[in-house]
Amino acid sequence: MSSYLNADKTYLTLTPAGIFEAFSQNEPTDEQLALQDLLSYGQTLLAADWLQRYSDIWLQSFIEHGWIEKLSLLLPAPNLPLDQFLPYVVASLSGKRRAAIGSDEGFCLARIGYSQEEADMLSVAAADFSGFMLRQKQRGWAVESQAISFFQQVDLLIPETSFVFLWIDGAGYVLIIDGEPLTNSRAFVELVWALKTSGLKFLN
Amino acid sequence: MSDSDLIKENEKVAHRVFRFYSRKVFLAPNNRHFHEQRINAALLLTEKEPLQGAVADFFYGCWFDIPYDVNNLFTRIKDRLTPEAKQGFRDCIDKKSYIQRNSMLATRWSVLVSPSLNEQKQRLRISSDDAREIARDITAELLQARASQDWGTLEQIENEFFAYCTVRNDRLAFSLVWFSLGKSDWQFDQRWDNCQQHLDQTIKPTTPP
Repeated sequence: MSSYLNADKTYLTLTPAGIFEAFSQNEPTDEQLALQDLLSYGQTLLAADWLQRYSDIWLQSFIEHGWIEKLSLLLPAPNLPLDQFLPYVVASLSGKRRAAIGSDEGFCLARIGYSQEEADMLSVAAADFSGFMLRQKQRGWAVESQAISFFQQVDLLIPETSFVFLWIDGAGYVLIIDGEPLTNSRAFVELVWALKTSGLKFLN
Repeated sequence: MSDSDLIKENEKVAHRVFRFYSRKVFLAPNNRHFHEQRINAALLLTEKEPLQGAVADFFYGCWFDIPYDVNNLFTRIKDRLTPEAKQGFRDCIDKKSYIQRNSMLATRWSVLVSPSLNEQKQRLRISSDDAREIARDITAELLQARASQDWGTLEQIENEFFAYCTVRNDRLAFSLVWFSLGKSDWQFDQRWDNCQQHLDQTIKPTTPP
């Protein structure tokens, strides 16, 4: 049992950086699965419960990497139907409040700011990029866990469009973000938590 | 070029400078000059979150300077911060607290520190900058729909707004729209009351620190 935290009073959750680490691979490592476990339940896990399954050394390492945050309070997972929840959450990930989320098969699951036509077009493009990255991985170029940005200006400073790839329970998702990507956000954690625990419950 | 176009253009330039120095800060977290240039750029933006995020990064990256040599800078910026953020940073200057890697004072614009989830649920997804912008847009759209007597569109916009407020627990946007429309003799029906009641029910008592 960890000696440096009150494991029976401390809850654990992933940080935005922890989300990138945990959900970036279609075949996650044991460490990545241990991180994913934190967002697999209807509420935040007690450190003591997590430590019954995983090692104290991993916890210490994850905290040092900035992937896990210790909490003093219990938080419930988002429990609204995804089609109500996703559009407003993804909006805050974009500096222009235009964003969408698509599946790796090219379907748009939610959008805000983009027209349906734009979101569909970008979702198909995202699926192509996802396939491209998987093929490159098989050839030995480890780009699978990376995001893609497109720029119009030569200084490559603020992207026009960014694609962030996530793998949740074997299914591929892509966040499509217009303008400046703002993924260092609580909304990013909640978005993935909702996808992980919802069982893909859509109202419509 | 009109005044509003000029303001937009200046905002774009300030955003680019802000992002330029965000990269510099990310690569050299202890370089005070980069932090100050980034904060200066944030002061030119209308949003408050970039400034708060940049100041949180500065207090984290240059922790060694904060209790000794930050008063001049803080005097320049403090009136642009929310009261909570101002008090939080003041506590750091007074050595009562310090910024950790996950911090209540960080925002999505921070690059060295991350926003903490260690706070009440109903505050998790709210950005005050977003709330103000959404409230402004929604109010304009609703008044436009009423002026055109497009009742179908008006009801649709209202319903989408209620859904937004419910999902994000955004009492700020709801209140801003409510007051703006109230000044224009808006007819608030039962759906407005229902949404307000839903938002009131999600308020939880604040836990003392």
